Amino acid sequence: MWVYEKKLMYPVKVDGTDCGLAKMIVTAYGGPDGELGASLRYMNQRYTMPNNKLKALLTDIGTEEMAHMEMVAALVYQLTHKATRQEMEAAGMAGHFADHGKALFYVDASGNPFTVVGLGAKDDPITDLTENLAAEQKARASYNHLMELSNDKGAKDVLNFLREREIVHIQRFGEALSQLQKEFLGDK
Amino acid sequence: MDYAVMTQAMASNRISKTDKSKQMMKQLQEFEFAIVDLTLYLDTHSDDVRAISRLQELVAQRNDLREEYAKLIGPLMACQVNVGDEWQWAEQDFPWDNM
Repeated sequence: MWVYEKKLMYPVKVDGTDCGLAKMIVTAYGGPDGELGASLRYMNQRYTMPNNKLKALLTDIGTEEMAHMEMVAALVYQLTHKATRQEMEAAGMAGHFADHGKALFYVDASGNPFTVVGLGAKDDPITDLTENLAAEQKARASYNHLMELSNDKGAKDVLNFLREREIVHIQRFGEALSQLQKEFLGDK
Repeated sequence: MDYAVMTQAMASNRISKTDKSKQMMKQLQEFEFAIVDLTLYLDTHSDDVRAISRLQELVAQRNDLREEYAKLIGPLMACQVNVGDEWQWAEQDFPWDNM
């Protein structure tokens, strides 16, 4: 089970309204390499992991991704909730406004809705952990791009934190993969 | 700021509840960041006894701070202590509205 705590993992406070930036950052929410996809992938893969250590790692990283998703949502919300309709239209968010008003929605930076089609789950721990290493690298690269696009210092600080966490996850998944390979080869 | 100093400052109105709430929240976030990070580390280094004992220390400190926060500022979880007659959990702000 999970319990909710009324607290963000890291404080989120943007400098001001910026619909254009929100439209890009939303990809970290509902895009192919975003936090929703990451949390769902790990939470789903963990059932067929061969040992409890790997089930623990996927559960713990999957849980952290949910906390990241809440931070990204806070960013998008803070960047848009005081915007005028004209500001949203000027940022290319007229379509979003028509469908959702100022509500958040799980889309990528081009407005494509979230899909689970590409979420890796192969009942093969080597494949799944390799998938996760690539996924974390993709998420890290996306945060790099988003930081380049951000003129909002408050938002950039949060993106930097999230980018750093992807690097830690890459480290942990790499160690898990290497341990598993040693076990298969009978070294341990 | 040290917690005891902060409580004293708040009692003598030298620090507002908002400032205090922000300071305590930051401390909590720092503790919990360390806890999350150490947990992931232990998932792949499960025989590191130094890391296990450090994690236990951090968790104990975090638990104390969390209880104090719930008493002074408000509950972080719906099941935490409720001070007064009003249902605090549903009354207090959510963290994304911190602007």
